[in-house]
Amino acid sequence: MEAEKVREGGFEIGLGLEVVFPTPGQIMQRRMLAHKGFLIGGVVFILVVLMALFAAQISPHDPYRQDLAQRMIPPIWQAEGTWNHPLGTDSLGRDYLSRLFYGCRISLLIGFTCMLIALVIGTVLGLTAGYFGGKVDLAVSFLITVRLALPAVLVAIAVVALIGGSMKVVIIVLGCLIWDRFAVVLRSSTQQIRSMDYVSAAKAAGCSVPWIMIREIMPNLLNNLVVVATLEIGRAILLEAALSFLGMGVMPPTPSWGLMISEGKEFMLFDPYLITIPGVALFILVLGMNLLGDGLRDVTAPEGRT
Amino acid sequence: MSPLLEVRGLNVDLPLAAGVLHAVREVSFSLEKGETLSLVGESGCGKSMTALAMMDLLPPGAVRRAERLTFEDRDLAKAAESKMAALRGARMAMIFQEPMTSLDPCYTIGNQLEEALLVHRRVSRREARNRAVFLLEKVGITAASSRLKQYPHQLSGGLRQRVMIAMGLMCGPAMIIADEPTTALDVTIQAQILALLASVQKEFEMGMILITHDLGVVARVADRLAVMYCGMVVETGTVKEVFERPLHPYTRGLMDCIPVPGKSLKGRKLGSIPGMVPTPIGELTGCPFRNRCSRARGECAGSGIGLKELSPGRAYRCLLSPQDCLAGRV
Amino acid sequence: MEPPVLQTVDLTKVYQVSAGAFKGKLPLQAVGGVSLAVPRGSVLGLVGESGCGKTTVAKMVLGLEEPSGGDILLSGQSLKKLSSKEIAGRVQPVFQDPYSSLNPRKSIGSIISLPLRALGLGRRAEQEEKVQEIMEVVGLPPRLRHNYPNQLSGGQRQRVAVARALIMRPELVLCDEPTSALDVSVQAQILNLLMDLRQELNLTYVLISHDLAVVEHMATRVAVMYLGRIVEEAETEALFRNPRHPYTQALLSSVLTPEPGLSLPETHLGVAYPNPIDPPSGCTFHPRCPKADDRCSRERPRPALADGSLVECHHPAPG
Repeated sequence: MEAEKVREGGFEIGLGLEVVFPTPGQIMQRRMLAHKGFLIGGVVFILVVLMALFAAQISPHDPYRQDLAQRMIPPIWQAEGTWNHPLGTDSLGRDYLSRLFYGCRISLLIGFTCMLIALVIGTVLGLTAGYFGGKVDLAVSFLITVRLALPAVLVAIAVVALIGGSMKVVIIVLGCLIWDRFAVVLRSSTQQIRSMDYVSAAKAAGCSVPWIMIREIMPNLLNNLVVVATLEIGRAILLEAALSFLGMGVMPPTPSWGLMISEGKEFMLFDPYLITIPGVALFILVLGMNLLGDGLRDVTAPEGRT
Repeated sequence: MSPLLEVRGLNVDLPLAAGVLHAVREVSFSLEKGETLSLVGESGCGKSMTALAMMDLLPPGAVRRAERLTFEDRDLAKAAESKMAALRGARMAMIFQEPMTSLDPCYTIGNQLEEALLVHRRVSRREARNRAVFLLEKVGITAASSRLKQYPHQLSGGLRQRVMIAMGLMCGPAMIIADEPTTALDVTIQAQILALLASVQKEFEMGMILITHDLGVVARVADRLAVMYCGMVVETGTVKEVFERPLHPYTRGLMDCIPVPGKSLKGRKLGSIPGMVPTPIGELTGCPFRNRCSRARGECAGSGIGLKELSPGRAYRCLLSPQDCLAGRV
Repeated sequence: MEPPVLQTVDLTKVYQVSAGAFKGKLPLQAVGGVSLAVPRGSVLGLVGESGCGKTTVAKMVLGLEEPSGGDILLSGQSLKKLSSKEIAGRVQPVFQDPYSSLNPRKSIGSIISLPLRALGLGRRAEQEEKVQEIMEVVGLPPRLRHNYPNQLSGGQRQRVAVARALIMRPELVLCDEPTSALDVSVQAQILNLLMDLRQELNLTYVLISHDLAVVEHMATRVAVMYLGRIVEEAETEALFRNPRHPYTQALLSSVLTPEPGLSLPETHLGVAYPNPIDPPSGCTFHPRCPKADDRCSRERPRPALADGSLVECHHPAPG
């Protein structure tokens, strides 16, 4: 073969900088550190996860322990607040800070598991519709349209009213309702990828259809998948909060933030902290998840050609 | 008489994550009225950037510096955007490579053609339409008036490119820049489009800058050419001079690479240039071609290898003497 | 006598395309009866412009599309009787675009070894060895197998595509515009590589290209396609020296050789671009043909065979 005078991967010293092309992983790392939204969302996410994991250690009190002598103590920034209960107590004397921390667990747990269920359903539907096209695509598109036409909250309420509310019911119902975005995004991504030459090359190399779908196409879908997943976690958390607020979600005395808002609404006018604290917590968590998801989308945007 | 376009010491820098990309380095050339100059080179050599630099259509973040950049005796180097906008389309027109994406799919051909004129001149819609029909016929599109109502997706690639040419001519510019105008077209259409460009150029007495990587196109269409490599001009001259006696090792290498039906011997390998085109990021010292050149010596890494001018317009950038260049293959 | 490595018999492909909303589907004949034979060790050049059907033929030969009619034989065996894995072991492609023909999420080693892994040939260690071996054969340093496609240049990526195609030592390599997307100086490297490998490994190629100069340099026989049919086929030298079909003549005269002093060629082709959904009657080339007469618009010409060359025209130039 011909003598290659130039070293591969870069070019000779003396001809300007020795530029070594980075791996996709390195490129992503660099972009991640430069993206503010991603960093903020990431920090929020990590903090919330830590709070959830170590709720037992960092909570000053038992979130379920009622103490009617200590009810309705306002948070520390108001005149009657004490450091014993930095965020005050609710109408049953339970410490709000502890309930907030334990609420993280509920929110994240529900958020993740709902997202996972939705991910599995949506990915299977989206991949097969995008890959096979034709009648399969028609069927899946029909399913997606039907799902989009249903208002998720109302359906969830109806199901819970029939079966009765509990964490398990909420997770399964929500998981079966929020797969639409996964399906839509993955379907169009798969359609794009299917027309690439490397898929044809894989077919020509003798790869079976499941192989191509899982080992050739899926790795290229992971970017989009992760972005949608983070956004869906936020969506699931909000939906759960809404259901719990309406009394159709997790049952008391579970410290779900939505439930805390519901229990606090009758005191809204005089002790608004009962709803603002969990409200703000919800807001920050979902905002953080959205920033993280948007940041991931920007950071993993498709590379141009070298 | 001063040339139509004069460029001296043009530099275009693009800041990238890995460093500064010097896309165009100290490029100088001039264009006379009625002449066709071709900028030839492979991908990444900076020819498209040079064209965009003249029209000031560089991507955001790009920095353009030029010692001298005049067009029709107007100084473009420091011209404000409003002045440039008035020139673009009116005095200098550009034809891009991809006819698929150069036309807006939401508007009819007629709409786009008329707009090209109405933006610059205060004429009535009817006059603009008449000129559009006139030019469509000039570029060889039959049933021109009915074509005006069609949308870009209803036309083939060759027809779209003709429409692009007509659009470029709407205001009667003095100069046309054609960036790979036929690369995306079928080979039988290519000859027609090039012939069309040549004829309108002659008829309207325009200067043309033809950017291409195809030496065959250059040979048949251009009057003079400038070979670019890694952002720098490495050889200039009339087409006859350069093709008959290519001096720079890169030019010679390129000409050896091209299979010519009937000429290159079957079974023998094509000449080729080993290695790959480097990316000009960071400071460049010495000859950019030296790592692929079989004649490279120690001095090639030194600085200040300038263009050696043999006669007006004929120059090359190499330390070897012309006799040494011509002797032996790359 | 050994059967040709590839033989197509009256190969046809018809697509159903929608004619517009609520208008149902119309048939689009992409390939209308193509018969080819490629003997072992030869290179068949398949030329034609966009829309002539050459890529569709390639896809059918690779087993990626089902023919609507006709048959494809690999060394005498019909493709219909072969499983996709068996076809994979015998025909491999090299595609045009080096940027989309490699999976950006896979390492080079993984890409090249894909055919081996898909067919379950050999254990990990043996596969590794074969990968390194083929990388050296195509001129890639074996250490690149840990890199990713975005770290390689266009020419290197195309070498990877060639390595992937050859790792199974297929009978037939189908090159679909293998160098069109590459720089001129790199094109020559890849073409030389393909030529060397053909000698070394006694490969058979079908080379699809719109670049006649490349085809003339590489191919032993050339078939010219227009709107889904082969209008002329001959030994390379014969075809280039004496093209008989008016379309071939126009194609050849359109090639812009880098010879200054010559002006632009006159192809004498009309501007009437054919619509594949509604092809012209009779000889599909007649609206653009300088030699067309009344008969050409009514009657389809039959292929005429003479000394190993074929032409489908009512008024071919004399042989």
